[in-house]
This record gives sequence, structure tokens and C-alpha cells, in this order.
Amino acid sequence: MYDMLYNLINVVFGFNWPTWLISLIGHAAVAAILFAVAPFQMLFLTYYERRAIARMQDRVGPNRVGPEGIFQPIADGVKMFTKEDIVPKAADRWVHLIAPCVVVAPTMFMFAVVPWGPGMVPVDLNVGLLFFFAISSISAVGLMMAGWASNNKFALLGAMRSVAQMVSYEIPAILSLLAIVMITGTLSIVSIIDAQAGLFINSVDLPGVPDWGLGWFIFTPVGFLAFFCFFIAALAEGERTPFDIPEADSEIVAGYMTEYSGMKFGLFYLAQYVLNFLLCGMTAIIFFGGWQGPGVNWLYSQAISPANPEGMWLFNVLAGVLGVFYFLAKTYFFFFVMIWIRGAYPRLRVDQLMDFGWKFLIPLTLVNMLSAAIWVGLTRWGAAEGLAFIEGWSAGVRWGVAFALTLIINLATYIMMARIYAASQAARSRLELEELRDLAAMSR
Amino acid sequence: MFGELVKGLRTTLKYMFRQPVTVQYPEVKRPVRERFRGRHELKRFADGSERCIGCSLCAAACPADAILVIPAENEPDNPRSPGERYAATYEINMLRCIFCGYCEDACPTNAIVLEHQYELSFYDRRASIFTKEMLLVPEDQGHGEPPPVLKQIERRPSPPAQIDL
Repeated sequence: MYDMLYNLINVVFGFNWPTWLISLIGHAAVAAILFAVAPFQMLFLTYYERRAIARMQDRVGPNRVGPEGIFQPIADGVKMFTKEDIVPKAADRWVHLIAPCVVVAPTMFMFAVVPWGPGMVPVDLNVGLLFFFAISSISAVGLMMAGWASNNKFALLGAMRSVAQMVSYEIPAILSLLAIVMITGTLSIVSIIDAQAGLFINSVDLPGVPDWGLGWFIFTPVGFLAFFCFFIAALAEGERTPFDIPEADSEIVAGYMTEYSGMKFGLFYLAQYVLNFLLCGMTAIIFFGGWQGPGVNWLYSQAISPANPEGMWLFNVLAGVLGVFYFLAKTYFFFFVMIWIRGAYPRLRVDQLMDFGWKFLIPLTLVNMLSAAIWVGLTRWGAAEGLAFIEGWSAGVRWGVAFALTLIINLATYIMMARIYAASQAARSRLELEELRDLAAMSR
Repeated sequence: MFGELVKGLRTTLKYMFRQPVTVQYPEVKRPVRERFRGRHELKRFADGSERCIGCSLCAAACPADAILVIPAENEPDNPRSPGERYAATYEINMLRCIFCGYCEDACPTNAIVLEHQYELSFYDRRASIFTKEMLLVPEDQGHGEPPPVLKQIERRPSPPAQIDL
């Protein structure tokens, strides 16, 4: 963006503007584009979710406004804007007002590090992944503010639940990403995507593998288990069924959103869908290669880029379009999986949620990190790190041994953990049943 | 643990590819049953004269007291109906009517018939009174048809409650 603007302003028009101004204009333009994209994603996702969940429930869903109801979210938006904004008498007015902004702002920040296509990233931070998850947990503060300021039992309960849930599920989410970070050795999201070129085996592990853009981490045992844990944690982070406890409508009305109406409610809604979009996007980026796919890397190698200044601009466009297409296709697929899960499963109880997070996911992700360490040792290390015996193996053999070993470890851990967990849950429900029986006997 | 989860997901996905049961109401209307009792119609004979002879038996049979009939003598050289009298005023209050069909049973000439029209909404209470002009079928329609109940006798039985569209 900067190079393009510099070229346009100082070379083509000859204005000779200072570089900081051009940089500022470039970043402002990107920010403006992203601010337009985020609400549109939300509008589309609400429509997408309502149509999909309707079909799962033998209904049609919104199909009246515009062709096939595509303008329904806009009608909803207009409704939100024109509704009365109610602030409860006993509420803390200022906190009540600021809370939605505190929830929405971080979700918008998160777009800053999301790469949409090859070379299409607003800011390539070298700690992009850390930034993403650090920023995402700020919205928990906003949720707590909303719940507290509303001065309402349900709102406070909902806020407490959501904060507890976010805090406990961030741990498995980040631990599972840590395994990937260990393998790639970088926190930059762009580098993580670049490391996923290849064909089922990524080209970092096995140099010379054909580059079809399919060396996704999902094809490794470590990546698969990490994906499994991360996606479940993402469901909890985004407050999706079966972890929609904070806004369990059958128990606590709408959780922290109970006392909000009009556009303030709309902002919470926006934040939630944008967050879900980003979490699905992150799943796609980290485990499914983001914009990586057949053809993108080849197209981008012909295009104008820092590495290849004499490229063709047409290839920039083609690589961008194909990359964004792959990225959005994967993201929407994961959002569909979220909807699908919503259609299939009931809501968990709070204690079940906590049990699952702390006693099942976290041990699993910890073992997965061990596997990741083994993977790194077997594929990258040599005599210098004290693993002289693998010096003589070829890259393919190293990869094969690492794959087999991590597969065995992860599979064994999963089966063991699942058995222990199932047994403990069964024992627990038995105890609860006994307690109930005792209570019944006492009351008699 | 995993098998049950997959089973649940498969069920949901299966339903996704089924035809939704929703009927797009104003465009598509589900056919009503043969013996459905909807809006009343006052029928005519084949020669165009009114079937209603103003006997008020329907008003007497009406459990909701929804029908008002004021009869008048037919002019001998220009009779409205075949009998001595005809209904000068025939009003049904649709807010009172319970669509029981007793009027249909009471009518000696099969003049009043509950038909299949069920879109009967109106904006004010005054509009709930359907007058004779509204109820009487046009002269070229509804000639001498027996009411749906009588038609039923030779017809096959009513379709089952769930019909596939």
C-alpha cells in the first residue's frame, strides 16, 4: 500500500510529499477499508447463520427482504437504529454507555493483523498472534462493565459467566496455538501462513515437496489435535452453542445484554459476530493455511512484491482474488461448522463447561506441546542440539518418524483422557443422583 | 464419546438437505379440507333467483346469534326468490360467528353454505358485519350446487390431515 501510494503521489503526480504523510494516508485507507469490511461480514454472517439454522430446523429462514432475503440484515440494522435507547434508572450511566464500545473496539483492532491474501495484511506484526489474542481478551472487561453497570441480576450473572468462560478457555486456545508456534518458530501470522506451503507435508519439513499450497498443519498429528482443541476453545470464546452459557436465554434472559436496547445492543451483536468471524478466520489461517491453496503462490511469484519488483500488476490482482477466495471459503466453512454445532447440540451446564476446559482440554494441549517439541526435535535439530543420531536420516525419514511418534502419543493421550473424563463424569452424575435421592428421602 | 457427537451432527446435516415444511403463505396456499367451514355464501338457483326465502331458520339455529334476517314479501310479477318471501336484509356478524355450520343444516333450500374462503380479516368492528350484497354470489355463479357436505356423499373421503405439498 505504501509503495503504491508513494509511487502514485510522488512519482506520477510529483507532489513530493513527506514519507510520513504517505504512510499515514496508507494506513488510514487500510483502516477505512477494514472498518467497512467488518460490519459487512457481520451482516452477511447473521443472514448466513439464520438461513442455515433454519434449514436444519426444517424452516426456510428470512427470505422476504430482497432476493432470497439477502437484505434482511439491513432491515434489522435499520430497526436497531430507530429503536428507543433505554438506560435503566438504577444503572451506572457512563459505564453502561462505554461498555459496548469497549467490547467492539478490540474486535476491530484484531483485523489489523489478519492477512487476507498474499501480501494483503494491514500490519505484519512480528508478534501478530500474541497481539490477536491479547486484544481479544480485552473485550472481557467490556462484558464485565456491561453486566455490572446494568444493575441487573441476570446481566451480572451473564457477565460473570462470560468472563469466567473466556478466561478459562483462553488457556487451551493459546496452548494449542503454542504447539504451532513451536513448530514454525514465529509469532507472525504471515510467517505461519508462509510455512504452510507444500502438499500435505509442508515445505519447511520436507524441502522439495511440490508447492500446491496444501501443506496445512491440519495434516500433522500435532496440528490436528491443536485444531481440535482450538476450535472447541474458539466456540467457548465466541460464546457459541454448546458454550453459550453467558447468554443462555432460557436461564438468564440475554446475559450481559439484558438491559441493552437499540444500537447499543446492536454493537454487542456486531462484536460477537465479528469475533466469531475472526476466530473462524484464525482457525483457517493457523491450521488450514489461510489464503494458501493451489495456485496462489505461483500467481504471487509473478506479481509485484518486495521480492520481485518487476512483476505484473495483473498477477497481484489474480493472486489477491484467489487468496481472499480461499481464505473466505475456509472461514465461512468454519462458521458453518459453528452453526451446524449450534443446530445439533444442547447447552452445557456451567460446571460441565469448566470441567471440560480445565480437566480435558488443557491436559490434552499440554501433551500436544510435548508432541510439538518431539516434532521440532526430529525434523529440525541435529548434532548441534545434541541429537547426533538423526544427522544421517534423510528429511523424508525424519518427517515419517516424527509423524508416527506424535500420532501415537496424541492418539494414546486422547483415548486415555477421553476414558478418564467419561469415567469421572459418570461418577459425578452418580453422586449427584445419590444426593438427590437423599434429599428426597429427607423431605419425605 | 465421539460416536454420539458425530451421530448428532449427521442428523442435523441430513435435515438440512430436506425440503423445508414451511408454506410461503400469501403466494402458496395450502388447500383446505373438503368440509372446511369458512366464509358464508348465499347461493342462487340456476335461473338466477335467490335460494334464500327469508324463513329465518338459520338465525334461529345460530348458537352465537350472529345472523339477522329481515324478510319481505316478494312482488308477484317480479319475484326475487321462488317462495312467498325473500330476505330483504341478511347480515352475518363475523365477530360472533363460530363457523359451526348449523345455519347450513337448518336451511331448507340450501341457500347458505360455508365455503372455503378463510381470509376474513378487517380493520374495524363495523366491517365485521357482512351484508347480503357481500354474501350473495353473483348471478352467473353458484347455480344450484348442493352444499359441500352433500357433495361429499358421492366423493372419496377427505384427505388425511397431513398432505404432501
